[in-house]
Amino acid sequence: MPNGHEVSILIVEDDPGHARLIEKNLKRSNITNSVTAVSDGQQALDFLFGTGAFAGKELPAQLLVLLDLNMPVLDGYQVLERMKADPRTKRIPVIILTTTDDPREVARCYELGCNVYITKPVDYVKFADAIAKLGLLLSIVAVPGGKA
Amino acid sequence: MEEARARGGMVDDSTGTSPRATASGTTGSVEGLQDVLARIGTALYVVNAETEEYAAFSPMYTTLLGYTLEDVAAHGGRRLFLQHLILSDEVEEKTHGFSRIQDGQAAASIREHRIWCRHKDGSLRYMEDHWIPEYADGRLVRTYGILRDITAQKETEDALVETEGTYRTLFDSVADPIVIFEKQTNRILDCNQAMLPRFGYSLAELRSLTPLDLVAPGETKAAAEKNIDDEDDTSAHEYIFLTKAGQEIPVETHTADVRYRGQDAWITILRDITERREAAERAKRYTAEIEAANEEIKQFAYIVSHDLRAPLVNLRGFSAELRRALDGVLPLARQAVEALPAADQRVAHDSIEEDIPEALGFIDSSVTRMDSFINAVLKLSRIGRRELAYRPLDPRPLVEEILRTLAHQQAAHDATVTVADLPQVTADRTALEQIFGNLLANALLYLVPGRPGRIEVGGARGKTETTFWVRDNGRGIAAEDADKVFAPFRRAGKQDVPGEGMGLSYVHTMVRQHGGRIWFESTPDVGTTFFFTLSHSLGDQGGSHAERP
Repeated sequence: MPNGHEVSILIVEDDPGHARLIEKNLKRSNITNSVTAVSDGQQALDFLFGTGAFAGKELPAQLLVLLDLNMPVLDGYQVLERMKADPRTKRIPVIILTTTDDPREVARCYELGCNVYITKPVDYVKFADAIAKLGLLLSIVAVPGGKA
Repeated sequence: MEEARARGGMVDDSTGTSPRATASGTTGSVEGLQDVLARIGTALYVVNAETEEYAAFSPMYTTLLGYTLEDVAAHGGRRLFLQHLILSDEVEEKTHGFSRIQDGQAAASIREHRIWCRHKDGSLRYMEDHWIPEYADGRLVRTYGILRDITAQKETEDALVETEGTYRTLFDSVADPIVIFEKQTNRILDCNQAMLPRFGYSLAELRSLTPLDLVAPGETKAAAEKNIDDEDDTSAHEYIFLTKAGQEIPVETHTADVRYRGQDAWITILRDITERREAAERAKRYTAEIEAANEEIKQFAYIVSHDLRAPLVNLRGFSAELRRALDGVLPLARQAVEALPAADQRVAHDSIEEDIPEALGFIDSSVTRMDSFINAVLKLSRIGRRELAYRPLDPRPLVEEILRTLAHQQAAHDATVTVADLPQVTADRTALEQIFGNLLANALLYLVPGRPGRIEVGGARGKTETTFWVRDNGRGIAAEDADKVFAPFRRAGKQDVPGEGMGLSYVHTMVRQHGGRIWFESTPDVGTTFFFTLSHSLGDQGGSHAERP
């Protein structure tokens, strides 16, 4: 599927298996955008704010974040909070992709300003399907610029 | 007192009764007293010291003890008839009276004694006798006296002494230490017996201290501000007191205003609340522990559920990836296998056609089961956390609605369900639906095939809780399986009915949330009755809206 938006994808996921499955399924859905995977919240913030291992690197013009919730160092809520509190990152769309389907947690994420909340189903077909839909979403939705 | 018939007067030498009798003293004169004495309402007398005879007396002197002048005359006139009325066993009192002479040698000093006398009517009277001796040339010549009946005063004094004694006994027998201290200086004036051993001071030591000296240093300021200087404050306060040996005692003080031996004072009861504090601490600790344990269990179920799901996503995902990869290589592999020697063909064929798909199949089915367990644990933990809305409701339509959804199962088991009149209750509607739904579904599921099912639903309102029951004539539960019935993932009896083994665990949790209990009675092959109770003290409604219609 052609993609003229040049959206980069940041996967923030501490489980390497999950990260790999997400990448594989995105690829299968013909998402060819550049994908960066980091394994905890701190690395995600480093990527977003050009610090630590990502010091000096430019933030991609168009970015989408796939964010897990339960992670070491900084969890998904903290990342979401920091992103929404900072003018440089508050307009970057965030998709929560997590095993948690507790209604209170879903509500909390929306309150913090996430755009979409997707539960990782154990059922792989559903999982692949969810990622495929995400791919579709990426291909049809214009993602606003990463910089405010 | 008997009306005074005696007119009093001067004692007559010849008759002893003449009101005009002249005094017979050797010195001085009592002439002129006559008129005064006759009119006076006080018992006055004059005694000639030498002869020990009356020189004169007022009428009141005899009437005070019920006697007339005639009585006095009959007694011998001038002789000191009063002496005969003094009770011998009260002489001590008389002596005591004399001992109170303040200025015994002074000629005009007033002397006093108190004596018990026998009134003419037989009653005892307590008399106070004041007298003044008159001396001439160093010799006692006359005494002038006033006699007063102070029986009433004596009785009052005795009552006071008794009351004081009663209070002292009470004061000393109170188990809590009590201290009395002066308002102006805070100096301790007195304390009861309990105070001494508890605090380790002697009364003499305490009398040089103030209650503030007994309060632990950190608390002194608060004590001074809150209690000891606040006159209107009679409420209880808690302080740490120190014994002489420095041991800390938590004390609750109650203070009141008293007069003590003419001083404005405070009386303070020092209740040792060590045990109460310890009990309160313990209760607080246990409550905190229970809350923490409860929270831990909730967190545990929640975390375990989510953390266990993450690897499952991988197991499921990568087994699917494997299957996908296998599907990709299988046609090629089959061709390759055909080219192999016969012996190797068998092994290769088994691997790609049986072993690999079988392994993937087991992984998949295990993941499915694991996922359902995790979901069940998660559901149980969510039920435990759910906020329930307690409302008064009529269970009968609720049960009938459940039965409509179970109509198919009823027909399949040829079951008749009878619902008795059910008492109104206060409960969470969803929870009550799930409780009845589970119990009724179970009753239908575990009927004996081929035997028409008979299921009864009943209820009875008790004093503090309402009991409901669901009775069936199903296969029953063996005694050895009783423990498994409400445990998560445990299923009793023959495993021929599908289910995850969580239904009664959910029910148990929900009943417990309603302050109730659940249990069953069962005879194998005859039937089972499940009972559960709902507490009447739920929510703000309590039981008030749950009255019988």
